[in-house]
Amino acid sequence: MSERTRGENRAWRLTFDYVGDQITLAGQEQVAMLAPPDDSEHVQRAQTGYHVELRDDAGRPIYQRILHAPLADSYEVFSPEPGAPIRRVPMEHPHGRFEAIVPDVEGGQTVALVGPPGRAGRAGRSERGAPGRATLIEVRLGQPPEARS
Amino acid sequence: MSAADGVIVGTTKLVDHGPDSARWNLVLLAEGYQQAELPKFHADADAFVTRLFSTSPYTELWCALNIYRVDVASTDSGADDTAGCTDGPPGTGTGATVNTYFDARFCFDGSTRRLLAGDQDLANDTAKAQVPAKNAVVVIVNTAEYGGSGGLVAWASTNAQSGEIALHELGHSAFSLGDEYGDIYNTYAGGEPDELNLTVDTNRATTRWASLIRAGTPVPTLTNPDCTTENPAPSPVPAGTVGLFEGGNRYHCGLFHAEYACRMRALGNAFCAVCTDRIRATLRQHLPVASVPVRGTQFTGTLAPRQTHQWFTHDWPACWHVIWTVGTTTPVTPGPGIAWHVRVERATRETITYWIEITNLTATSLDIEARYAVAAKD
Repeated sequence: MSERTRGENRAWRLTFDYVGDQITLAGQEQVAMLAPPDDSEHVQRAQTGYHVELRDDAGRPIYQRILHAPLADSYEVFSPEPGAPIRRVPMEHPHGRFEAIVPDVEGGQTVALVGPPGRAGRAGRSERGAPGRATLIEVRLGQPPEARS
Repeated sequence: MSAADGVIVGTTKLVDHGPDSARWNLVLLAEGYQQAELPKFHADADAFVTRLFSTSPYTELWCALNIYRVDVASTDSGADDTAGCTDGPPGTGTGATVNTYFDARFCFDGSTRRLLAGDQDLANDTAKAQVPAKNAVVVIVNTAEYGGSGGLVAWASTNAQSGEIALHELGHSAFSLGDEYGDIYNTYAGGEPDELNLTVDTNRATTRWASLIRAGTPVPTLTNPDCTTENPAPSPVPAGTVGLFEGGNRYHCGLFHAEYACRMRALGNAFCAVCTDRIRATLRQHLPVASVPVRGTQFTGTLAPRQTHQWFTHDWPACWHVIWTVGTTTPVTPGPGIAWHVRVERATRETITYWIEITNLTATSLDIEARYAVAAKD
């Protein structure tokens, strides 16, 4: 990744919609901001969960950032009593929106959401060396969102 | 019950620590405030900022943050009092609706009164339009009843306890922290999860936060003897001890978190050491870095022989790295002419007052000057 230069912080913000396991790109934009720090070291060690990945033309990851439950299928419910248990209640029809911010760096061509294969939908494929993970959606930077009815 | 039910009045940078392109930018949105109630939103937003400032590790990394307040005036006040929930306070669940910009309502899922949320996409889009470099969004809902929720944006009512919901949810959305409690699942049998505050590894030498576990701490530190429910046992180790405590990501067993108590396990707790480290690692890059120094002379004066005098200079941004030097412009030789030291007063959340005491060590009058250099401010 290129060295941070003051005044030149650039990132891509990608917005995704999901209904059940189906994920679509809702939009992407370049923003003058810092992307979160790279999590590649942690992603290598983990075996399950979700992360967003910036890839080069050959499909190699050049940036990875962990995401917590981007395809949420429940709501978290709290109690006003300090220390009281937290619980979750299911969404009747899981759907929603999530964002990923990746650095705008030379060589970055596509952005992928990687997660459990069970939630891969039609876009899913197995990841080499990463059992339990699949590409759930991959979009080319600069590509317009899919037309939606 | 939509954007047609209100208007965006304006955006104010409440906490300004430099350019948005370098800072971590939090946006606070008003929901359910009528135009005449916006001064109340200003106070509610200030209260949330104060709460955040008093929450570690935000306190230590305060200079990494910018915070915006977006004034949104709604047609009506409050949130929908959705019918169908029987778990609310007496008199609630009437089905009364109000016309508000983000359409916030209690009982968002149709069965849980405390679940307060609204149009997440509209809230997120509004925040992005006002602050393109936004990192996180909290919607403050103008109702004193307890409630809130998470997701792409966090929702919290003005109830004194609801701010905790937003802090927990920011842990998820901004720092990718996992839940450290179990609720419906018994035993986790999967691999190491992505979330850095959870692990399946019970090996003292290799587990994720091994470097934080002291030699005398038992590992695992607290296991759950009944994997059908949460473990009610008290902690076997003093508060703040890092170890391996069973439960997390909705599983009662098989996953471990780092401390007995943590905000990601139950509200009202501080973040544990591992969650704190994760938040720090994300925010640290947003701190001001060294810049071309800005230099100047803050004050000059004359000290009588052997005199000690104290000056003060106020309203210096707390996030600036200021280096002080006091010198004498009267030649003195041989030996030292003056002694000085600086005391620092954090006068407000954002400002510092410097107290500079200077002593003339000689038997003659000396002219002095106090010079500063600001080494990092953007």
